[in-house]
Amino acid sequence: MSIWPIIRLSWKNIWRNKTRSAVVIIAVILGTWAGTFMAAFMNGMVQQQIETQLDNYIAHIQIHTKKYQEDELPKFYIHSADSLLKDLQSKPFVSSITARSVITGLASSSASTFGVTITGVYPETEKTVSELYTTIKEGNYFEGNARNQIVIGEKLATRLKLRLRSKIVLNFQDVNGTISAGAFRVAGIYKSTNTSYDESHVYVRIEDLNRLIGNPDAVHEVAMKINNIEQADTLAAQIGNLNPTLSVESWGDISTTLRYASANMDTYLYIIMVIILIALTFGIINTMLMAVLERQQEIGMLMAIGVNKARTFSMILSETFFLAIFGAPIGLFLAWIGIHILSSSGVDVSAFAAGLEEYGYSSVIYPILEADYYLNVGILIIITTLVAAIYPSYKALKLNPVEAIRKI
Amino acid sequence: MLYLKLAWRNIWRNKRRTLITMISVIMAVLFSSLMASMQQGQYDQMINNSVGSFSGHIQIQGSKYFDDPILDNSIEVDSTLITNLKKNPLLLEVIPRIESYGLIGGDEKTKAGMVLGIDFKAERTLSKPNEKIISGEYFTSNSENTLLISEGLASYLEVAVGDSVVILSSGYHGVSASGIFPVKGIMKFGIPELNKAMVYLPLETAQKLYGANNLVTYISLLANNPKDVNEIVSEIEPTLGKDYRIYGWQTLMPELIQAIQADRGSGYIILLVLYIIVGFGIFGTVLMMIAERRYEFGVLIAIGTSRMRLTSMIIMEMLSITIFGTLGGIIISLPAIFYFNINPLRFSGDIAASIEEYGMEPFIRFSTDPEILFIQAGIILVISLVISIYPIVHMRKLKAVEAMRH
Repeated sequence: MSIWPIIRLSWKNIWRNKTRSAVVIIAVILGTWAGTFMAAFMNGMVQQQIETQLDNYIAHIQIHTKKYQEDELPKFYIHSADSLLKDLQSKPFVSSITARSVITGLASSSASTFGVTITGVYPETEKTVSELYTTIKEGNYFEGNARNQIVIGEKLATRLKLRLRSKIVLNFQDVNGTISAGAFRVAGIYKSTNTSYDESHVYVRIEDLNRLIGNPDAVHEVAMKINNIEQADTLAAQIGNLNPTLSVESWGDISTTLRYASANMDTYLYIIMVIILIALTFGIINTMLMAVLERQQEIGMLMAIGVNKARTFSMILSETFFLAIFGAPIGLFLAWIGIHILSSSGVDVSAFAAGLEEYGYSSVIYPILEADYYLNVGILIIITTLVAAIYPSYKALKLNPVEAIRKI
Repeated sequence: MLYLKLAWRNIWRNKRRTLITMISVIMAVLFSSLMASMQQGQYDQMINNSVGSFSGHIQIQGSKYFDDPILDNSIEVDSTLITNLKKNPLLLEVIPRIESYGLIGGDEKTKAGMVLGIDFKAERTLSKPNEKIISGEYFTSNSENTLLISEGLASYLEVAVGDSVVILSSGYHGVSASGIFPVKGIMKFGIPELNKAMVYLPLETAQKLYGANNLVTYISLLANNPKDVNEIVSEIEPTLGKDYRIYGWQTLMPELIQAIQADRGSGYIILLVLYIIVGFGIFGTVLMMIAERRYEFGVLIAIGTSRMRLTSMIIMEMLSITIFGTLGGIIISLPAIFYFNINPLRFSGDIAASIEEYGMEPFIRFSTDPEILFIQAGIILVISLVISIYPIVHMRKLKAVEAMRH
């Protein structure tokens, strides 16, 4: 005798009692939907947070001289930065690029002193690479024509008791290593997500800074954004190979934490999925156990007329398999629709996460998920359902046919 | 009364059925409380890693220091205050500090950094510099003329143990503060910002350097239990003079609160999804239970039991199963939570390395806060009770003849 009659029987069984089948199918749909949607939600949130970090502080690729990397001294600027910039600008993969002069020094007001990183920028191109200018709370980002304007973080302003148009003195080494100083006027005050960054980073026009450090063409850092962020590592290596004296780093090299956050997202997503799957397993085990209990009489009858144990077992198992096969694609489809709709409209979590906005992250989250994840989730769900059905099927075998038939 | 008895007997009549329903509730409590205590455990760790290892749970400062953290707003170390604080049974340690910034110079290079004057004994419980020494030695007195330097700063300045380091800063009320000190030890901090720019001086040496005799910028307090912070603050606050202020870590580090709140949003959503799954697990079980008992209910109605009474019987059955299930869930969850508290989930490989790099512990320790368990059990109880409405609705529609024909 082949296994086919049993499979046909289980196919008929699942249509016979629609409520019972619906319960299991809905459980599977919910599990699939929840797992997929959750993953998309978390994935979207982390990617958004990484993007915020890259947009405000790091950009996608940074270039310094190797010596500057070891020792952030003004004299280690990039020679012939102009031709490097022009060369990179013409590359199709670069979406925006800017040059900076970056030195460390002390910022002093009449009230106090604090160690800061001073960045000289070209305001126009800087705006295309870094969105820090959007966090200006007071004043503006180098709009006036006055000389020696400075944009500082709110935290530093509080620490040094500075207001708009206050005077601030910067002390630093120039390209020859001698201590130099310059007085600046606060033109803008920004407040970004990272208060310790706000406290220790000030921005001035590159021509003002370079005049003071004694080299009008000094460029210590080239920061750029590329069209496809996935290629950051390969492109950084490529540019690095062409310019052996330069150190070219992708955002992942600059912030290992972000790289790990991005790389570990997958692991994290599967952990969430596993938790949901375990919870789902118990739901299915209990439901199927109850279903076996409810069908005592029916199963007892089958056994009494001579259906052997292996067949009874495979009947229950294949019933569950059919239910899972039904539920999983529907769940995936619903998740796909949900993600598709919400990936453009977003989920507003401000009710749950009061901290997000203050933290500078958007409280509207746009779920997003790679296509291959759907398939993996579908397979995982079907396996889970089958595993969950083993115990109830085994329980069905343990029924005593005589007692089972007698039961009301 | 008869129906109460009947309900009670029904529960025990088919033990397996009761047990299956109860287990679905127990599992729901177990999953949601494990999830919630894992999340809370992470937050506790975040707090402990940043507060308990550098700033302290509570700080006593001068009245102007919070808005303007400069030496001029220092406070005098009042020995009776310190003695009183040390007597407080809720406090683990009292740690006076004098904190300022200065230019730190080696032979050729100079860098701005934090210069922290510490009480060498008390500090061992807070930032634990004695455990961070990677070469050289820790201070042995509060007045010796040496310093400890962080590893990143030492390598930048190219100094080793025994070399001299110059500190240039401005002291109390603008006196110029400069001194030269031999390096006694090199410390490795987990947090990169600290590792790059930190110098420790013995307390009295730092006071002398800054011309701030017997002054400190703040007194850090370490609580035995971080949950007591608010209680301790309100207890100490009235005993302080008008020139003193006391702040809990929530006020000192608002960013940390924000970070936790930001994360809590996604935590709630994961929990919500979990509730949907476990809730449906319970629902499926109850649905099947009712299906299994159709015949029984049909007979009861046929022999003239009023639907009202039948419904109240079912309500009582469901109520007791749910309540027992929830209690069972609490009993099962307790050892599970404690197990993960004692044996935290460990990260391995690259992830662990990157977490450790940030000076944090590469594992998740579950929180054993009893509140979590009760809240989660309460939520599951409510979910189960809502699900119990289904059998009630079902009873109203049940047709005796059809049910018995089954």
